[in-house]
Amino acid sequence: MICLHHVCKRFAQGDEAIEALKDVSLEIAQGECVVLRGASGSGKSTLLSLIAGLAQPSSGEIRVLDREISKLPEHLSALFRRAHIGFIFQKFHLIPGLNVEENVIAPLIPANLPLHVLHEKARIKMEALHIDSKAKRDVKRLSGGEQQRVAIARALINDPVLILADEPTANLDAKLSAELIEHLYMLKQSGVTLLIATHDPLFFDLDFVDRIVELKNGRIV
Amino acid sequence: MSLTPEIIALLLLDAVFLLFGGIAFVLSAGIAWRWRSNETTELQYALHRRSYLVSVIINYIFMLKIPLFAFFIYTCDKLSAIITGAMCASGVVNSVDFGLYLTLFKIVNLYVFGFWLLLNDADMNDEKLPFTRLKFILFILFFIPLCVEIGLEIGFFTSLNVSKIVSCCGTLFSASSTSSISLLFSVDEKIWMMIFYGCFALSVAAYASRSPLASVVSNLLLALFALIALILFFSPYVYELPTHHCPFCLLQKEYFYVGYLLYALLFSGTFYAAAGGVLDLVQKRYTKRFYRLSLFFNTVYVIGISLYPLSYYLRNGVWL
Repeated sequence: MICLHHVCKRFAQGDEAIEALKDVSLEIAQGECVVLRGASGSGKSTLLSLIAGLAQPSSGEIRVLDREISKLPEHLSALFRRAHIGFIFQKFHLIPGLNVEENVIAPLIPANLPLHVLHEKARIKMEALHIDSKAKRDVKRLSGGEQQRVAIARALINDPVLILADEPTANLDAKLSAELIEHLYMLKQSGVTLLIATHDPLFFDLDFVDRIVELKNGRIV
Repeated sequence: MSLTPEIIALLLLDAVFLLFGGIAFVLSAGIAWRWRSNETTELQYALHRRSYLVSVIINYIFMLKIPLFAFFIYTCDKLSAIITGAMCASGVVNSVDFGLYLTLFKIVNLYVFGFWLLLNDADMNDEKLPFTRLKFILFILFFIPLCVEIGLEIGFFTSLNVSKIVSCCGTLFSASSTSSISLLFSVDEKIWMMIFYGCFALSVAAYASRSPLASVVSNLLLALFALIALILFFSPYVYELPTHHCPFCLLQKEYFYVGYLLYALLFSGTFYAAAGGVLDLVQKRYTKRFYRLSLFFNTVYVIGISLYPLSYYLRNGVWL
Protein backbone atom coordinates (compact mmCIF):
# COMPACT_ATOMS: atom_id res chain seq x y z
CA MET A 1 0.00 0.00 0.00
CA ILE A 2 2.64 2.51 1.13
CA CYS A 3 6.33 1.96 0.57
CA LEU A 4 9.00 4.47 1.53
CA HIS A 5 12.53 3.74 0.50
CA HIS A 6 15.44 5.78 1.95
CA VAL A 7 13.42 8.99 2.01
CA CYS A 8 15.14 12.23 3.00
CA LYS A 9 13.61 15.68 3.16
CA ARG A 10 15.60 18.85 3.62
CA PHE A 11 14.28 22.38 3.97
CA ALA A 12 16.37 25.46 3.39
CA GLN A 13 16.18 28.05 6.14
CA GLY A 14 18.37 30.95 5.11
CA ASP A 15 21.82 29.51 4.49
CA GLU A 16 21.06 26.55 6.69
CA ALA A 17 19.56 23.24 5.55
CA ILE A 18 17.22 21.59 8.01
CA GLU A 19 16.89 17.85 7.62
CA ALA A 20 13.30 17.02 8.51
CA LEU A 21 13.51 13.35 7.50
CA LYS A 22 16.64 11.23 7.40
CA ASP A 23 16.77 7.98 5.46
CA VAL A 24 13.25 6.87 6.34
CA SER A 25 12.17 3.46 5.05
CA LEU A 26 8.73 2.13 5.90
CA GLU A 27 6.12 -0.26 4.53
CA ILE A 28 2.43 -0.23 5.38
CA ALA A 29 0.10 -2.95 4.17
CA GLN A 30 -3.44 -2.44 2.92
CA GLY A 31 -6.00 -2.23 5.74
CA GLU A 32 -3.33 -1.62 8.36
CA CYS A 33 -3.69 1.06 11.02
CA VAL A 34 -0.35 2.62 11.86
CA VAL A 35 0.26 5.32 14.43
CA LEU A 36 3.21 7.61 13.82
CA ARG A 37 4.44 8.76 17.19
CA GLY A 38 6.88 11.52 17.89
CA ALA A 39 7.42 14.87 19.56
CA SER A 40 6.71 18.14 17.78
CA GLY A 41 9.27 18.70 15.06
CA SER A 42 10.13 15.03 14.72
CA GLY A 43 9.00 14.97 11.07
CA LYS A 44 5.53 13.37 11.37
CA SER A 45 3.65 16.02 9.39
CA THR A 46 6.41 16.18 6.78
CA LEU A 47 6.16 12.44 6.30
CA LEU A 48 2.38 12.60 5.88
CA SER A 49 2.60 15.42 3.35
CA LEU A 50 5.20 13.44 1.35
CA ILE A 51 2.97 10.35 1.33
CA ALA A 52 0.03 12.48 0.20
CA GLY A 53 2.15 13.96 -2.60
CA LEU A 54 1.74 17.46 -1.17
CA ALA A 55 5.51 17.82 -1.18
CA GLN A 56 8.40 16.10 -2.90
CA PRO A 57 11.22 14.35 -1.02
CA SER A 58 14.79 15.57 -1.44
CA SER A 59 15.80 12.02 -2.26
CA GLY A 60 14.41 8.50 -1.97
CA GLU A 61 11.30 6.86 -3.33
CA ILE A 62 7.68 6.88 -2.14
CA ARG A 63 5.17 4.49 -3.63
CA VAL A 64 1.49 4.60 -2.76
CA LEU A 65 -0.84 2.00 -4.28
CA ASP A 66 2.06 0.99 -6.49
CA ARG A 67 2.37 4.49 -7.97
CA GLU A 68 5.55 6.48 -7.54
CA ILE A 69 3.83 9.49 -6.00
CA SER A 70 7.11 11.24 -5.23
CA LYS A 71 7.72 11.78 -8.94
CA LEU A 72 4.23 12.62 -10.12
CA PRO A 73 3.75 16.04 -11.70
CA GLU A 74 1.71 18.30 -9.44
CA HIS A 75 -1.58 18.07 -11.36
CA LEU A 76 -1.35 14.26 -11.51
CA SER A 77 -0.62 13.97 -7.79
CA ALA A 78 -3.70 16.15 -7.15
CA LEU A 79 -5.76 13.74 -9.25
CA PHE A 80 -4.27 10.80 -7.36
CA ARG A 81 -5.09 12.37 -3.99
CA ARG A 82 -8.62 13.11 -5.10
CA ALA A 83 -9.13 9.50 -6.16
CA HIS A 84 -7.45 7.60 -3.32
CA ILE A 85 -6.46 9.67 -0.30
CA GLY A 86 -8.35 11.41 2.48
CA PHE A 87 -6.45 13.88 4.63
CA ILE A 88 -7.56 14.96 8.10
CA PHE A 89 -5.69 18.06 9.23
CA GLN A 90 -4.92 19.12 12.75
CA LYS A 91 -6.50 22.54 12.25
CA PHE A 92 -9.37 21.19 10.08
CA HIS A 93 -8.67 23.70 7.24
CA LEU A 94 -12.35 24.15 6.47
CA ILE A 95 -13.26 26.88 4.01
CA PRO A 96 -14.83 29.80 5.88
CA GLY A 97 -17.87 31.32 4.19
CA LEU A 98 -19.02 27.96 2.89
CA ASN A 99 -21.57 25.89 4.75
CA VAL A 100 -21.05 22.34 6.01
CA GLU A 101 -22.36 20.62 2.89
CA GLU A 102 -20.31 22.82 0.57
CA ASN A 103 -17.16 22.10 2.56
CA VAL A 104 -17.82 18.37 2.42
CA ILE A 105 -18.40 18.50 -1.34
CA ALA A 106 -15.36 20.72 -2.05
CA PRO A 107 -12.83 17.95 -2.95
CA LEU A 108 -15.17 16.58 -5.61
CA ILE A 109 -15.97 19.86 -7.34
CA PRO A 110 -13.15 19.48 -9.92
CA ALA A 111 -14.44 15.99 -10.76
CA ASN A 112 -17.40 17.53 -12.65
CA LEU A 113 -19.93 15.12 -11.17
CA PRO A 114 -23.62 16.00 -11.48
CA LEU A 115 -24.84 18.15 -8.61
CA HIS A 116 -27.39 15.60 -7.38
CA VAL A 117 -24.63 12.96 -7.11
CA LEU A 118 -22.49 15.36 -5.05
CA HIS A 119 -25.41 16.14 -2.74
CA GLU A 120 -26.21 12.45 -2.31
CA LYS A 121 -22.59 11.57 -1.51
CA ALA A 122 -22.38 14.45 0.98
CA ARG A 123 -25.68 13.43 2.61
CA ILE A 124 -24.44 9.87 3.21
CA LYS A 125 -21.19 11.07 4.80
CA MET A 126 -22.88 13.76 6.87
CA GLU A 127 -25.46 11.27 8.17
CA ALA A 128 -22.74 8.83 9.16
CA LEU A 129 -21.01 11.57 11.15
CA HIS A 130 -24.26 13.02 12.57
CA ILE A 131 -23.82 16.47 11.05
CA ASP A 132 -26.61 16.22 8.47
CA SER A 133 -28.89 18.46 10.56
CA LYS A 134 -26.28 21.23 10.24
CA ALA A 135 -25.72 20.87 6.49
CA LYS A 136 -26.62 24.46 5.70
CA ARG A 137 -24.84 26.05 8.64
CA ASP A 138 -21.72 28.15 8.13
CA VAL A 139 -18.70 26.18 9.38
CA LYS A 140 -17.50 29.15 11.46
CA ARG A 141 -20.54 28.72 13.69
CA LEU A 142 -19.78 25.10 14.58
CA SER A 143 -18.07 23.78 17.69
CA GLY A 144 -14.57 22.26 17.49
CA GLY A 145 -15.94 18.73 17.51
CA GLU A 146 -18.45 19.50 14.79
CA GLN A 147 -15.76 21.13 12.68
CA GLN A 148 -13.62 18.02 13.09
CA ARG A 149 -16.51 15.84 11.90
CA VAL A 150 -16.98 18.08 8.86
CA ALA A 151 -13.26 17.67 8.15
CA ILE A 152 -13.63 13.88 8.42
CA ALA A 153 -16.69 13.88 6.15
CA ARG A 154 -14.70 15.92 3.64
CA ALA A 155 -11.79 13.48 3.86
CA LEU A 156 -14.18 10.58 3.23
CA ILE A 157 -16.28 12.09 0.43
CA ASN A 158 -14.14 10.48 -2.28
CA ASP A 159 -14.31 7.05 -0.56
CA PRO A 160 -10.52 6.93 -0.07
CA VAL A 161 -8.60 3.72 0.49
CA LEU A 162 -6.03 5.59 2.56
CA ILE A 163 -6.66 8.09 5.36
CA LEU A 164 -3.83 10.28 6.58
CA ALA A 165 -4.59 12.03 9.85
CA ASP A 166 -2.28 14.69 11.24
CA GLU A 167 -2.76 15.22 15.00
CA PRO A 168 -6.50 14.62 14.65
CA THR A 169 -7.26 15.08 18.37
CA ALA A 170 -5.03 18.10 19.01
CA ASN A 171 -7.97 20.50 19.13
CA LEU A 172 -10.52 18.18 20.73
CA ASP A 173 -11.49 17.50 24.32
CA ALA A 174 -11.51 13.97 25.75
CA LYS A 175 -15.15 13.23 24.81
CA LEU A 176 -14.75 14.42 21.21
CA SER A 177 -11.43 12.59 20.94
CA ALA A 178 -13.19 9.36 21.93
CA GLU A 179 -15.84 10.04 19.27
CA LEU A 180 -13.15 10.57 16.65
CA ILE A 181 -11.43 7.33 17.62
CA GLU A 182 -14.75 5.56 17.20
CA HIS A 183 -15.01 6.93 13.64
CA LEU A 184 -11.46 5.85 12.87
CA TYR A 185 -12.24 2.39 14.20
CA MET A 186 -15.23 2.12 11.86
CA LEU A 187 -13.04 3.16 8.95
CA LYS A 188 -10.48 0.52 9.84
CA GLN A 189 -13.29 -2.07 9.99
CA SER A 190 -14.33 -1.11 6.46
CA GLY A 191 -10.84 -1.90 5.15
CA VAL A 192 -9.44 1.63 4.90
CA THR A 193 -5.72 1.99 5.59
CA LEU A 194 -5.03 4.50 8.36
CA LEU A 195 -1.85 6.40 9.08
CA ILE A 196 -2.22 8.64 12.10
CA ALA A 197 0.48 11.07 13.14
CA THR A 198 0.04 11.98 16.78
CA HIS A 199 1.66 12.42 20.13
CA ASP A 200 -1.67 11.89 21.94
CA PRO A 201 -1.24 8.88 24.30
CA LEU A 202 -4.90 7.95 23.64
CA PHE A 203 -3.82 6.26 20.43
CA PHE A 204 -1.02 4.17 21.85
CA ASP A 205 -3.17 1.54 23.59
CA LEU A 206 -5.95 1.15 21.06
CA ASP A 207 -6.82 -2.41 20.03
CA PHE A 208 -7.31 -1.59 16.37
CA VAL A 209 -3.88 0.01 16.00
CA ASP A 210 -1.65 -2.59 14.34
CA ARG A 211 1.66 -0.83 14.75
CA ILE A 212 3.27 2.18 16.35
CA VAL A 213 6.18 3.73 14.50
CA GLU A 214 8.26 6.23 16.40
CA LEU A 215 9.98 9.16 14.75
CA LYS A 216 12.77 11.02 16.49
CA ASN A 217 14.68 13.87 14.87
CA GLY A 218 13.56 12.75 11.44
CA ARG A 219 14.55 9.11 11.89
CA ILE A 220 12.52 5.99 12.64
CA VAL A 221 13.69 4.58 15.95
CA MET B 1 12.39 51.73 -40.12
CA SER B 2 9.05 52.94 -38.83
CA LEU B 3 8.10 52.06 -35.28
CA THR B 4 4.36 51.59 -35.10
CA PRO B 5 2.81 50.34 -31.83
CA GLU B 6 2.39 46.89 -33.41
CA ILE B 7 6.06 46.69 -34.44
CA ILE B 8 7.18 47.85 -30.99
CA ALA B 9 4.99 45.18 -29.39
CA LEU B 10 6.39 42.47 -31.67
CA LEU B 11 10.00 43.55 -31.12
CA LEU B 12 9.54 43.74 -27.35
CA LEU B 13 8.04 40.26 -27.34
CA ASP B 14 10.94 39.04 -29.46
CA ALA B 15 13.34 40.39 -26.83
CA VAL B 16 11.37 38.66 -24.06
CA PHE B 17 11.34 35.38 -26.01
CA LEU B 18 15.08 35.61 -26.62
CA LEU B 19 15.79 36.27 -22.96
CA PHE B 20 13.55 33.56 -21.53
CA GLY B 21 14.26 31.20 -24.43
CA GLY B 22 17.98 31.63 -23.76
CA ILE B 23 17.50 30.80 -20.08
CA ALA B 24 15.35 27.79 -21.01
CA PHE B 25 17.98 26.73 -23.56
CA VAL B 26 20.76 26.64 -20.95
CA LEU B 27 18.58 24.85 -18.38
CA SER B 28 17.28 22.41 -21.02
CA ALA B 29 20.82 21.38 -21.87
CA GLY B 30 21.48 20.59 -18.20
CA ILE B 31 18.25 18.62 -17.81
CA ALA B 32 18.67 16.66 -21.06
CA TRP B 33 22.24 15.78 -20.11
CA ARG B 34 21.58 14.59 -16.56
CA TRP B 35 17.99 13.28 -16.64
CA ARG B 36 17.68 9.69 -15.34
CA SER B 37 14.03 8.87 -14.93
CA ASN B 38 14.55 5.74 -12.81
CA GLU B 39 16.80 7.37 -10.19
CA THR B 40 15.52 8.94 -6.96
CA THR B 41 18.56 10.98 -6.01
CA GLU B 42 18.53 14.57 -4.82
CA LEU B 43 19.80 15.70 -8.21
CA GLN B 44 16.95 13.99 -10.04
CA TYR B 45 14.31 15.60 -7.80
CA ALA B 46 15.98 18.98 -8.37
CA LEU B 47 15.91 18.32 -12.13
CA HIS B 48 12.29 17.21 -11.83
CA ARG B 49 11.28 20.55 -10.31
CA ARG B 50 13.46 22.48 -12.74
CA SER B 51 12.03 20.62 -15.71
CA TYR B 52 8.55 21.72 -14.70
CA LEU B 53 9.62 25.37 -14.57
CA VAL B 54 11.48 25.18 -17.90
CA SER B 55 8.55 23.40 -19.56
CA VAL B 56 6.24 26.19 -18.45
CA ILE B 57 8.60 28.84 -19.89
CA ILE B 58 8.92 27.06 -23.24
CA ASN B 59 5.21 26.33 -23.28
CA TYR B 60 4.37 30.02 -22.93
CA ILE B 61 6.88 31.07 -25.60
CA PHE B 62 5.57 28.58 -28.15
CA MET B 63 1.94 29.13 -27.25
CA LEU B 64 2.33 32.86 -27.74
CA LYS B 65 4.12 32.40 -31.06
CA ILE B 66 0.95 30.88 -32.56
CA PRO B 67 -1.39 33.90 -32.21
CA LEU B 68 1.58 36.19 -32.84
CA PHE B 69 1.80 34.81 -36.36
CA ALA B 70 -1.66 36.20 -37.04
CA PHE B 71 -0.60 39.43 -35.34
CA PHE B 72 2.47 39.65 -37.58
CA ILE B 73 0.27 39.37 -40.69
CA TYR B 74 -2.17 41.89 -39.21
CA THR B 75 0.77 44.27 -38.59
CA CYS B 76 1.95 43.89 -42.19
CA ASP B 77 -1.59 44.49 -43.39
CA LYS B 78 -1.80 47.66 -41.31
CA LEU B 79 1.60 48.84 -42.57
CA SER B 80 0.30 48.69 -46.14
CA ALA B 81 -1.44 52.01 -45.43
CA ILE B 82 1.92 53.79 -45.06
CA ILE B 83 4.04 51.93 -47.62
CA THR B 84 3.67 53.35 -51.11
CA GLY B 85 2.24 50.88 -53.58
CA ALA B 86 1.24 48.25 -51.06
CA MET B 87 -2.45 47.39 -51.04
CA CYS B 88 -2.32 44.66 -48.40
CA ALA B 89 0.14 42.65 -46.29
CA SER B 90 1.49 41.08 -49.49
CA GLY B 91 3.12 44.32 -50.68
CA VAL B 92 4.69 44.87 -47.25
CA VAL B 93 5.93 41.28 -46.96
CA ASN B 94 7.46 41.45 -50.44
CA SER B 95 8.97 44.88 -49.92
CA VAL B 96 11.87 43.13 -48.15
CA ASP B 97 13.87 40.50 -50.09
CA PHE B 98 13.33 37.76 -47.54
CA GLY B 99 9.81 38.82 -46.44
CA LEU B 100 8.01 35.97 -48.17
CA TYR B 101 10.55 33.42 -46.89
CA LEU B 102 10.10 34.81 -43.38
CA THR B 103 6.34 34.29 -43.67
CA LEU B 104 6.78 30.74 -44.97
CA PHE B 105 9.35 30.06 -42.25
CA LYS B 106 6.87 31.28 -39.65
CA ILE B 107 4.27 28.86 -41.00
CA VAL B 108 6.71 25.94 -40.78
CA ASN B 109 7.59 27.03 -37.23
CA LEU B 110 3.91 26.98 -36.29
CA TYR B 111 3.96 23.23 -36.95
CA VAL B 112 7.34 22.73 -35.28
CA PHE B 113 6.49 24.67 -32.11
CA GLY B 114 3.00 23.18 -32.05
CA PHE B 115 4.52 19.71 -32.15
CA TRP B 116 6.63 20.55 -29.10
CA LEU B 117 3.47 21.67 -27.28
CA LEU B 118 1.76 18.37 -28.07
CA LEU B 119 4.83 16.44 -26.93
CA ASN B 120 5.00 18.43 -23.70
CA ASP B 121 1.31 17.80 -23.08
CA ALA B 122 1.78 14.06 -23.63
CA ASP B 123 4.77 14.08 -21.28
CA MET B 124 3.11 16.06 -18.48
CA ASN B 125 0.02 13.86 -18.55
CA ASP B 126 1.93 10.61 -18.22
CA GLU B 127 3.08 9.91 -14.67
CA LYS B 128 6.26 8.27 -15.96
CA LEU B 129 7.23 11.48 -17.81
CA PRO B 130 8.39 9.45 -20.81
CA PHE B 131 9.34 12.35 -23.09
CA THR B 132 11.12 14.69 -20.68
CA ARG B 133 14.58 14.14 -22.11
CA LEU B 134 13.30 14.09 -25.71
CA LYS B 135 11.35 17.33 -25.35
CA PHE B 136 14.34 19.19 -23.92
CA ILE B 137 16.64 17.85 -26.64
CA LEU B 138 14.06 18.98 -29.19
CA PHE B 139 13.85 22.41 -27.58
CA ILE B 140 17.62 22.74 -27.88
CA LEU B 141 17.17 22.04 -31.61
CA PHE B 142 14.04 24.19 -31.98
CA PHE B 143 15.75 27.11 -30.29
CA ILE B 144 17.71 27.56 -33.52
CA PRO B 145 14.64 28.19 -35.75
CA LEU B 146 13.19 30.33 -32.95
CA CYS B 147 16.31 32.54 -32.97
CA VAL B 148 16.43 32.57 -36.77
CA GLU B 149 12.78 33.63 -36.93
CA ILE B 150 13.31 36.38 -34.38
CA GLY B 151 16.45 37.52 -36.17
CA LEU B 152 14.66 37.60 -39.51
CA GLU B 153 11.70 39.42 -37.99
CA ILE B 154 13.94 42.10 -36.48
CA GLY B 155 15.77 42.32 -39.83
CA PHE B 156 12.46 42.55 -41.66
CA PHE B 157 11.11 45.42 -39.60
CA THR B 158 14.40 47.32 -39.65
CA SER B 159 14.59 46.91 -43.46
CA LEU B 160 11.13 48.33 -44.09
CA ASN B 161 11.41 51.56 -46.02
CA VAL B 162 8.27 53.67 -46.23
CA SER B 163 9.72 55.87 -48.99
CA LYS B 164 10.39 52.89 -51.28
CA ILE B 165 7.70 52.11 -53.85
CA VAL B 166 6.63 48.46 -53.73
CA SER B 167 4.56 46.27 -56.03
CA CYS B 168 0.95 45.56 -55.15
CA CYS B 169 -0.41 42.04 -54.72
CA GLY B 170 -2.02 42.05 -58.18
CA THR B 171 1.47 42.10 -59.69
CA LEU B 172 3.14 39.84 -57.15
CA PHE B 173 0.63 37.00 -57.45
CA SER B 174 0.38 36.79 -61.21
CA ALA B 175 2.01 34.98 -64.12
CA SER B 176 4.07 38.11 -64.80
CA SER B 177 5.62 38.14 -61.34
CA THR B 178 9.39 38.09 -61.27
CA SER B 179 9.43 35.72 -58.28
CA SER B 180 9.15 31.92 -58.34
CA ILE B 181 5.40 32.29 -57.71
CA SER B 182 4.96 32.87 -61.46
CA LEU B 183 6.01 29.23 -62.02
CA LEU B 184 2.80 28.09 -60.32
CA PHE B 185 0.78 29.96 -62.92
CA SER B 186 2.31 27.90 -65.71
CA VAL B 187 0.12 24.96 -64.61
CA ASP B 188 -3.63 25.09 -65.26
CA GLU B 189 -5.41 26.16 -62.05
CA LYS B 190 -7.94 23.33 -62.42
CA ILE B 191 -5.07 20.87 -62.01
CA TRP B 192 -4.10 22.52 -58.71
CA MET B 193 -7.74 22.36 -57.69
CA MET B 194 -7.90 18.64 -58.47
CA ILE B 195 -4.63 17.98 -56.61
CA PHE B 196 -6.07 19.85 -53.60
CA TYR B 197 -9.25 17.76 -53.54
CA GLY B 198 -7.12 14.65 -54.14
CA CYS B 199 -5.01 15.48 -51.07
CA PHE B 200 -8.13 16.00 -49.00
CA ALA B 201 -9.45 12.61 -50.18
CA LEU B 202 -6.07 11.11 -49.23
CA SER B 203 -6.28 12.60 -45.76
CA VAL B 204 -9.77 11.14 -45.31
CA ALA B 205 -8.48 7.76 -46.51
CA ALA B 206 -5.58 8.04 -44.04
CA TYR B 207 -8.11 8.73 -41.27
CA ALA B 208 -10.11 5.68 -42.29
CA SER B 209 -6.99 3.50 -42.43
CA ARG B 210 -5.95 4.68 -38.90
CA SER B 211 -2.38 5.06 -40.07
CA PRO B 212 -0.41 7.88 -38.35
CA LEU B 213 2.25 7.89 -41.06
CA ALA B 214 -0.32 8.20 -43.87
CA SER B 215 -2.00 11.01 -41.92
CA VAL B 216 1.27 12.89 -41.54
CA VAL B 217 2.14 12.65 -45.25
CA SER B 218 -1.36 13.36 -46.58
CA ASN B 219 -1.89 16.35 -44.29
CA LEU B 220 1.46 17.94 -45.06
CA LEU B 221 0.63 17.57 -48.76
CA LEU B 222 -2.83 18.98 -48.09
CA ALA B 223 -1.36 22.03 -46.33
CA LEU B 224 0.96 22.72 -49.25
CA PHE B 225 -1.52 22.17 -52.06
CA ALA B 226 -4.36 23.90 -50.21
CA LEU B 227 -2.26 27.08 -50.12
CA ILE B 228 -1.38 26.76 -53.81
CA ALA B 229 -5.00 26.01 -54.78
CA LEU B 230 -6.15 28.94 -52.65
CA ILE B 231 -3.85 31.30 -54.55
CA LEU B 232 -4.37 29.83 -58.01
CA PHE B 233 -7.98 28.66 -58.03
CA PHE B 234 -10.12 29.78 -55.09
CA SER B 235 -9.03 33.36 -54.37
CA PRO B 236 -10.49 34.84 -57.61
CA TYR B 237 -13.88 33.48 -56.50
CA VAL B 238 -13.54 35.10 -53.06
CA TYR B 239 -12.71 38.46 -54.67
CA GLU B 240 -14.95 37.81 -57.68
CA LEU B 241 -12.10 39.10 -59.83
CA PRO B 242 -10.61 36.64 -62.35
CA THR B 243 -7.08 38.05 -62.18
CA HIS B 244 -6.75 38.63 -58.44
CA HIS B 245 -4.89 35.82 -56.69
CA CYS B 246 -3.55 37.40 -53.51
CA PRO B 247 -3.63 35.15 -50.40
CA PHE B 248 -3.34 38.18 -48.10
CA CYS B 249 -6.31 40.29 -49.23
CA LEU B 250 -8.54 37.62 -47.71
CA LEU B 251 -7.45 38.99 -44.34
CA GLN B 252 -8.91 42.42 -45.00
CA LYS B 253 -12.11 43.98 -43.76
CA GLU B 254 -13.60 44.12 -47.29
CA TYR B 255 -13.72 40.32 -47.25
CA PHE B 256 -14.95 40.14 -43.64
CA TYR B 257 -11.51 38.96 -42.43
CA VAL B 258 -12.49 35.53 -43.77
CA GLY B 259 -8.82 34.71 -44.34
CA TYR B 260 -8.17 34.47 -40.60
CA LEU B 261 -10.90 31.84 -40.30
CA LEU B 262 -9.84 29.93 -43.43
CA TYR B 263 -6.16 29.85 -42.47
CA ALA B 264 -6.96 28.92 -38.87
CA LEU B 265 -9.07 25.98 -40.11
CA LEU B 266 -6.45 24.85 -42.61
CA PHE B 267 -3.47 25.12 -40.26
CA SER B 268 -5.35 23.56 -37.32
CA GLY B 269 -6.66 20.70 -39.43
CA THR B 270 -3.37 19.79 -41.03
CA PHE B 271 -1.44 20.44 -37.81
CA TYR B 272 -3.42 18.01 -35.65
CA ALA B 273 -2.96 15.13 -38.07
CA ALA B 274 0.66 15.93 -39.01
CA ALA B 275 2.05 16.80 -35.57
CA GLY B 276 -0.27 14.36 -33.78
CA GLY B 277 0.75 11.68 -36.26
CA VAL B 278 4.45 12.27 -35.59
CA LEU B 279 3.75 12.11 -31.86
CA ASP B 280 1.84 8.86 -32.32
CA LEU B 281 4.74 7.43 -34.31
CA VAL B 282 7.05 8.34 -31.41
CA GLN B 283 4.63 6.92 -28.82
CA LYS B 284 3.72 3.90 -30.99
CA ARG B 285 0.03 4.43 -30.39
CA TYR B 286 -3.06 5.87 -32.09
CA THR B 287 -4.68 8.96 -30.56
CA LYS B 288 -8.05 9.21 -32.22
CA ARG B 289 -8.66 12.75 -30.87
CA PHE B 290 -5.95 14.27 -33.11
CA TYR B 291 -7.33 12.76 -36.31
CA ARG B 292 -10.93 13.56 -35.44
CA LEU B 293 -10.05 17.20 -34.84
CA SER B 294 -8.04 17.23 -38.04
CA LEU B 295 -10.84 15.71 -40.08
CA PHE B 296 -13.32 18.19 -38.61
CA PHE B 297 -11.18 21.29 -39.33
CA ASN B 298 -10.13 20.07 -42.78
CA THR B 299 -13.70 19.24 -43.76
CA VAL B 300 -15.01 22.62 -42.61
CA TYR B 301 -12.16 24.29 -44.54
CA VAL B 302 -12.87 22.32 -47.72
CA ILE B 303 -16.61 22.98 -47.51
CA GLY B 304 -16.03 26.66 -46.71
CA ILE B 305 -13.57 27.31 -49.52
CA SER B 306 -15.59 25.26 -52.03
CA LEU B 307 -18.68 27.33 -51.37
CA TYR B 308 -17.07 30.36 -53.05
CA PRO B 309 -16.78 28.93 -56.59
CA LEU B 310 -20.05 27.04 -56.18
CA SER B 311 -22.04 30.07 -55.14
CA TYR B 312 -20.38 32.10 -57.91
CA TYR B 313 -21.39 29.49 -60.48
CA LEU B 314 -24.95 29.28 -59.17
CA ARG B 315 -25.33 33.04 -59.29
CA ASN B 316 -23.63 33.65 -62.62
CA GLY B 317 -23.84 30.36 -64.52
CA VAL B 318 -20.11 30.46 -65.43
CA TRP B 319 -16.75 29.60 -63.85
CA LEU B 320 -14.04 32.20 -63.62
